[in-house]
Order: sequence, then C-alpha cells, then structure tokens
Amino acid sequence: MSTSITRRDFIKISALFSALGSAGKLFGEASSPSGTKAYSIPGKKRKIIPSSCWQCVSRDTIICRVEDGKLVKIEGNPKSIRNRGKICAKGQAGINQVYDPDRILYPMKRMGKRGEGKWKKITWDEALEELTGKLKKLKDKNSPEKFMFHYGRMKGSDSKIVKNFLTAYGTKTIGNHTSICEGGKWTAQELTWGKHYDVWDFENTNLIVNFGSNFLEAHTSHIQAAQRGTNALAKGVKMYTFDVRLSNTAAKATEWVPIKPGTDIAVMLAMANVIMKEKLYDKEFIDQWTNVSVRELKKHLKPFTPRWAEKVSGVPAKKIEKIAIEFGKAKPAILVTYRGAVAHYNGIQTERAKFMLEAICGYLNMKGGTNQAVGPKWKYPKTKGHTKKLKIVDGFPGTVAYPTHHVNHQVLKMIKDGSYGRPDIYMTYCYNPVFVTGECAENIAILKDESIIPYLVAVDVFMSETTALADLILPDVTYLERWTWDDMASFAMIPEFYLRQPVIKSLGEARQFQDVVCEIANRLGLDLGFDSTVDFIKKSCELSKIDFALLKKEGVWHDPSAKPKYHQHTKEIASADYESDRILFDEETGVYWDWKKSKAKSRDEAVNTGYSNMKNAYKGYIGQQIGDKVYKGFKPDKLNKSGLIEISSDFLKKKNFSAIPAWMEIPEHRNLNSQQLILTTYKVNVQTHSRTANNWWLTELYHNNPALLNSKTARKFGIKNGDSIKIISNVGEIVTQTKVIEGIHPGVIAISFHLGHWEYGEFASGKKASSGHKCVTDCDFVWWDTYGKNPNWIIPNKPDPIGGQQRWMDTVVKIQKV
Amino acid sequence: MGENLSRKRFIKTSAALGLAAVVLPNKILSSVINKKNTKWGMLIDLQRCYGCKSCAVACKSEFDTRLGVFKSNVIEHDTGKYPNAGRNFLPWLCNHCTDPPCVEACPTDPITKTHDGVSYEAKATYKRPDGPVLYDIERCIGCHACVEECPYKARYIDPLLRAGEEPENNAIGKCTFCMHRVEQGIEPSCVNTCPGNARIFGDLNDPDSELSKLINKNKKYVQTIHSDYGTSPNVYYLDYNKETFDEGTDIRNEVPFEFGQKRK
Repeated sequence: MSTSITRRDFIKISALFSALGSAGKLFGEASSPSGTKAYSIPGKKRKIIPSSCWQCVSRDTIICRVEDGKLVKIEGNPKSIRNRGKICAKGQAGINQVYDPDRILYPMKRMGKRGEGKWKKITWDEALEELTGKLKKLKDKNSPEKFMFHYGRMKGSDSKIVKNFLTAYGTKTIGNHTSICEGGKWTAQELTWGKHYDVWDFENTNLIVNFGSNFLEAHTSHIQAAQRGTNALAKGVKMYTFDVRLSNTAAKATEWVPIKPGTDIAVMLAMANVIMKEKLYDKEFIDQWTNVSVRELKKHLKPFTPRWAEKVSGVPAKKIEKIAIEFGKAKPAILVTYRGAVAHYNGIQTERAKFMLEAICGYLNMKGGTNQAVGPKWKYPKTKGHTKKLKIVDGFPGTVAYPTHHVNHQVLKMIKDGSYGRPDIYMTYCYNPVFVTGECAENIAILKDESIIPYLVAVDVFMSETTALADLILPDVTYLERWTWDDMASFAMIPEFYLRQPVIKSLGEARQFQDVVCEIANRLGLDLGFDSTVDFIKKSCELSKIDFALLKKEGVWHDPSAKPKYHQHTKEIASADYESDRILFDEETGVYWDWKKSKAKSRDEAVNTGYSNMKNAYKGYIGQQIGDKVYKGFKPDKLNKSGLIEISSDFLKKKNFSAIPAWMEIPEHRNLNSQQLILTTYKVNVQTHSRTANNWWLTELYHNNPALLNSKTARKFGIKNGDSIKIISNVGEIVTQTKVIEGIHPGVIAISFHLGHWEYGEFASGKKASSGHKCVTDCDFVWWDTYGKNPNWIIPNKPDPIGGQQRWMDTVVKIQKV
Repeated sequence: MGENLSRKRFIKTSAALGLAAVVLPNKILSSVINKKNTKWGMLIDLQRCYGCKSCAVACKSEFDTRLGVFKSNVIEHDTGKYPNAGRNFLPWLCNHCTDPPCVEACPTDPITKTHDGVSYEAKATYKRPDGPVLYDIERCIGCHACVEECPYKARYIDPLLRAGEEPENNAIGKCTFCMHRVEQGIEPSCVNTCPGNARIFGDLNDPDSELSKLINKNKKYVQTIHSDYGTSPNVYYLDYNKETFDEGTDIRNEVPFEFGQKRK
C-alpha cells in the first residue's frame, strides 16, 4: 500500500483490518470526537466474547471485542479474581497473532531440501493420509515409542487431549520444554516441600526479598504477581531485589542489590545464619513442620557467615545482616526467586535454601507468606492404553539425579548419539528447539540430517526456525481461535475455572490440533472416548460440575463462598480417611499412604518395600502423622517425600549432594581470569521468549537487544557504547552491538532472549514467510531495520546435576572489539 | 455517544452491548450522565507505574495507530552510577493543557460548536469545554504547526492519513483521552489495561471523583510535566521525579521513538 492513500480508502481498509475504537453510528458518529471518526464504522455492533490469553504461560483471562467477524480489541476480563481485568502489553498485542501476515494457513509438504523453503500446499486429507500411514506402520511393528511428540506450549485441556491420544496410540516418548524454563525450581520444591508452584501473597506481606525474579516484566503469573506486587509497593512495603542486572523489578525495588551470578545461595545461607544467631527463627514451626531441629540448623549454618558470603557474592556483609534481620522481624515476609537464582549449576540448592529460610521463619502457607498454589481441579475423560518409550527425555544416564521435569535440552543430543534409540517420527508442537535451546548450530545440523531424524512433522501457527526444517507442516490455530479449559494457579488463593473459546472463525485452513488428533485417532481406529475438543470440554465440565454455558458467557467461574486457602498443611485428616485396608502407615516417615495408587502389585510388596522406596508411592499420599494427629501436611509430588518440609533431604544425600542446602560453587566460575565475563540472559516486558517477535506492535517497541556492559567493564576492554563486539564461548561466537550502562554487575554481559530470528516473518526477521498471505497497512511503515541477536548460538546445553535445569546463566565468555 | 443520545438510551444501549456488565466503571459513569461542568483529567501515580507499556500497546490497538507514531507511550530514564543505578518511568501522552500551544498555533478559522449545551470556538484542533484537546481531521490542512508547537512532543504527523482540507498533506494525530469510550461511560483504553492501576481518569471538577480526591489528598506530591511551560496540563503525576524529567531536560528529547519515519 502506498502512502498516497486517501482517507476514504483508509476507512474502507479499516473496515476490514483495523482495530477499531468503539461502536460507531450506534452512539452517534456525527458527534463523536474528531480523530476517532476514521475508526468508527456506521451501524456496526460489537460482540464481546470472554476468553483467555495465551501470549505467555500466565494465561490471563480476557474479553475480546469482535466486529463483523473481525477481532478489534482485547482487554482483561474484570470478572477474573486472578488478573482482575488487567493484561500486559503482550496480551494487548494478541490481535497481531491472529492477523499475522506470515501465519501458516494450509498444510504444507516440503519440496526441496530440508530448510530450503520450498513448499507445496496440500490438503488436510493428503497430510493426514501421509502421517497416519507412517504412524500405522510403526504401531503395526509394535514400535509406537518411535513416534516422539515434543511440545513447547501445551496446557489445560489442550494437553490432556493430546496426551490421551498419545496413550491410546502407545507412545510415552513425550518431550516437554520445562528444563529450559524453570524445571529446576519445581524439582527443588518437590525435594523440599512437595507439590510445586509457590504463590507469593504480596498484598498481605510486610517485606519482599527477591532473588533474580523479574516479575514486573515476565513471570509465569506475570500480571497476577505484578499487580499485587505493585499494590504492596504502593502501600510502602519494602522490596530488596538481588540481581546481576537492573531489571525493571530491580528498578522498582527499595534497593537493587547487585550480586555475582550464581551466588544467591551464599546470601541466603548467610541470611539464615543471621536469623539463627539473632534468634529470629520460629522454633515451633521448625519442630512441627520440618525434618530438622534448631540445633541441627545452627550447626549446619555456622560457617556461612555474612563475611563469608560477602567474599563469595560481593554483597557487603552489613547489607546481608540488615536484610536478614528485617526479614526475620517482618512476620511475615516473602522470598521471591526465579530463573535468575535457579538456572545455575547450583540452582536446586538455591531454591531449597529459599525454602529453608522461609521455613526457619515460619513464613510458609500463611497469609502474607509463600503459599502452595491453588488452581481449579478439572476432572476430564482419561483414555486408557499401554505405552512404551525411548529413554531420551531425561538426559544422558548418570548426568541428572532427579529429572522430575525431564531434560528436554538434551533430547537432540541424545537422538544424535543414537545409543538410546531414535524416533522414526519426530513431531514438534508449538515448539522451536532450534531457537529456544542452546547451541543453535548443532540443533540445526541434527534436524537437517535425515539419517538421524527421518521424518520431521511440525505443528505450528508460524514459520519458526524449527518448523522451517520440517517435512510436513500442520497449521494450528492461534489462541484466539481455539477451545481450551484452563487451570493456571491463582494468586487470589481461590481456584478459578476458566475457558478459552474462539472469538473469530479460524483463518484459512488452520485447525486446532486437538481436533486433528481426534481425526487421526479415528483414522487409526483408536477410541479416545470423545470425538472433538468441544466434546472433551463439555464432558470435562459435566465431570467437574461446571456449567459450560455459564463459562462460555462469563469466561470465568469460582466458588463465591470460597475463602483463600492459607495453612493448607494444617488440615487434619479424619481417622475414617486413613483407617482402611488400602492405607498403610509408614513408620520411617510417618506417612499414611494408599498403596493401590503406587506401582505395588500386592499389599505385601507395598509393606515390604515401604513408602520411601515403592515406585509412585507419593501418588497414594494421604497425610502426615505429627504427635497423635494426622495432617494433610506438605503433599509430595513426583518423589516419595514425607509430609514435612524436608530441609534435610535423603534423596540428595543418597546422590552425594549436601542433604541440607549448602554452598555449591559453579565449577566454570572457579578460576575466572580478568578477560572473562559471565553471560546472562533475561526477558523484557514487551516480548515473550520466542513467539512474539512478529507482533509488530511489540517489535516496534523492542527490536534490538545489544549486549549490556557496565561502563567500568567497557572502559577496561576499550569498548564504547554502540561498538560491535565478538562474544566467544566454548560452543561458538556471535557478533553484536554493545550498550554501555550502569545498571549491571561489572563481571557480567547480558543479552535478552526474544530476538535474532532468521525465520518467523517480516517483522521478526525481515524475511517474509513463504507461506504468508498479504500484509495489510503496517508492513509499509516498519521503521526499524534491526532484528537483534539470539544469545543461544553461544550458550551450551548443560543440565544442572540435580534436576536437569538448563544452566542459562553460567556461560563463561570472552569478548573482543570488532 | 453525543448530545442527541438521552441518558436513558445510553444506559440501555450499553447494557445491550454488554458494556454495563463488563467494563462500565462507576467512577466515570456519574460524570458522563450528569454532564454538568465536567473537566476531564488524569493522574498518573508513578509509584504504581512499573513501565510495562501495556498502555502504549492498548492505545495502539484502540486506534490502530500506524507504526512509527504513538498517542501514548512510556519514557524510560536510567539514573545514577553503579551500584546506585536506577530507572524512572514516565507514562507520556497529551497533557490536554488548559492553555494548549497547539491550539494557539493552528492557523485554521474557528467555527462555533456546542458541547453539552456550551458553545465554544473550534479550529481544526481545539479545546473542548469539558477538557480534552481534540482535532478534526476533516478540517485539518496538514500544516503541522500544532506538532511543532507542542512542547511535549505529544502530537505526530500520521504516516498514512491525509488532511481533509489539503489531501496532499498528511494529517496530524494525538491522544483524544479516548473520548469515544468515555462518552460511552468506559474509561480510556490505557487506564483500562494498566496493571499497576497507575492511571486514574476522571472529572477534575467533581470533588468526589477518585481523581480529585487523590489529587487533593496528595497535593504536596502532585505535579505536572514542565509546569514552567505555562500550559497548565490536566495530566497530573504523583511522585514525579522533577530532577530526571524536568530540570535541564527538553522533554522532546526524551520521547523514545522516531515519529513519522518510515522505511524506504
């Protein structure tokens, strides 16, 4: 479109493609203020449809305004008790996802070499005929495990439907993406208090101490946390943010405390040391709810003094002491952690130290403290089946002690190695391993090699760097065209049931993949017990006693009589609930458990093996004996932990790690020389990790990610703001620009994620997706010509030794001026 | 909604659209209904703003504003030396000044208009009696004098739209305080989305509005940007860092984007 367009033409175009202000004639267009007229269409009514966002994993609830079948505006759903009518910049830009000119709208088959970009548009029937033919062959050979399904974004009913299909088909070779997110945080929690996800009760706390979480810019519950955190700060609650970089969360803190990467645990240990010394601990809580004594803690923490921590972390001992005393006296306070603290070699013990510190003060599961998350408990149809799997999702044998959330960033390496089997069909679903895990060059080489991966199917909405290498592409719909019941944790501490429903008719021939698996099952003669996504959701609503019609109308539902679920662990279990034949008492741990939910074949086997050693015994956990009572306690997950907070962990002791959190040095950081820096990555507020760079409203705000350097460091290397530098790690090198700032630790170089796409589309990479349709209006007004640099080219795929978390923040690099 | 829409019909229409149920904030509803001597204004609580830019994108989407120009955005400003480095955020939009230099600069002939029974003189860009500084794209001649004269750089030359009176020239654009929403009883889009609840919109003439109450309660800490410009803005800031954004700073240099630029 040229710029000589007339206003009359513009109105016509607006009618088709614009995000419109508000209803036009209905409210008297003639008198509407000038300047908005162009956005009003006479005689059009707006429909309001509640749904939920999926720009990021926070999955906030939204309301969508639709005019003439076009989505014109997204806002937060004010009826939600979670996001309370608010959404972030990414949520506001959701319209860009639907109307992205680079979207894949038809099934496509590769014509040239892998990655060459030559495609043939095929019909769904042709696509599914080809795919089911191959799936059938594998199943007939009794090798269903050679179908690997690897997903990035899949939650709520989307996940349950696909997993039902995979079970019916017979494969458990299922890869996820948690280890590149925050898997280590969850494993640490499972080792310590049990079922994961910690919710911080910002609005009722007296102090916030934050280690490496940027919850004001990006977080798994971003808007829930940011909104409540801001309310706390506005009330005058203090926040200390320890971070290697001045994030916006650090900027809004009472004080930003710069810290050497990977040393958060040293400060936490020293804080615990001070709290024990100053007798600010909660003896009653320690005695009743943890598995250690005050004496043990004092003994263990003795060497970790603030002076010692100063040497390790660079944080002045006096500051540590001051913050520790404020923390101990706050009653309650919350300790916030995220990837900045956890995505390290020592991340699991760091997260465990956080829980130790909070448990010592008794700040867990209370108003104003850190709480076990609550979310809606959906009941749903479950498909039965026998499955087999390739052992390629938990990392190389012996490298990770408890990979409870798998080690997805090792999957491609393991496939390349070949010793543990290779999938004949590798299917990615909304997952872009080429771009989002480390070592991009190796990822590309593996995925391009047909002798290693014979058949690569990508289910995607966009031409991601991985999808561009596929043999077959199945176009999925965006979140604004899909059906999902969803279940994100609630910071209100009251479960909220909510729905995602199509707000417009899906574009092109894109189909929701959950409906596609129903068709594949049908073609393969598999019985799933439901025949479409909507059918599954309706059945789930019936089972969960949720009014489907009401959910469609309101988008959300919660029990109006429910109260916030604090003190969940103190609930007493009635004797009737643990006095049964199926239920055993385990003397060693004090746990009551239902042996039938474990893998035990008989009661005798369960009794003889015991709770701690019986596979999946945690699934039958009923409660914890304390004195002469049985309490709900801290419910275990994935590991057969007791109902206590296991500050001392036998699981870790068995694998030769310190049972109580202790200092764990990052080996690569031991002998850094003056020429070496530690590379850290981060997220900004207007982009998601990798899926929004083609949202032009967002990329306009953030389209360059120069390497951040402290002015002191820049001077040392003779680098000026804007200079090009080469950054070299032991897996590769990149050239990028620098930005010299004050808000960063001098030993650190920081590059954000998000950018540096070479596919994905016009706005993300400057390269139109070959599948794309016509760009309307905004393509002619792109005013930036930088697309950023992806730091993953030089970050090694390395798991932490306990949980398998990708060690994003540990990479040692050298820099050179170019 | 305008003068010819009765109060009764307004409420009915809103309900029919589901607005009443979903997004009708009571705090601005009374002013919309009473329509007597209203003066729209905004307070931005900078303690509550964490720079998320949800307002900027909400605005973009509300008006489908072209790339390269913004009606509202957030200025970020880094301060201090390591380790005492900091960052300030300043949500930025039209100040809807009481004495707007942009209106002064507009060379078009005024015509007489009425708003809620009050008549006033309006050039192509004009100050409405109830507060907002608005513009009429049909009467715009595309001279861009208003863009030049705005000391806050809150106006832009639209890369696509043409001036009604001189179609060879590009039209101008700016924040309208979302009057098309407000007149339907809905708060402006930036206010609606703000996760920090940093933006409070309302009637400055109504002493019981949340806005007036907050301004009165915090008199000591409430300021406008560059009060020395003599423009008397109606966008107020709470906890405004004068040192960062005012003294010795030309706010125009702080606006963090190139407006009116395009590729090729």
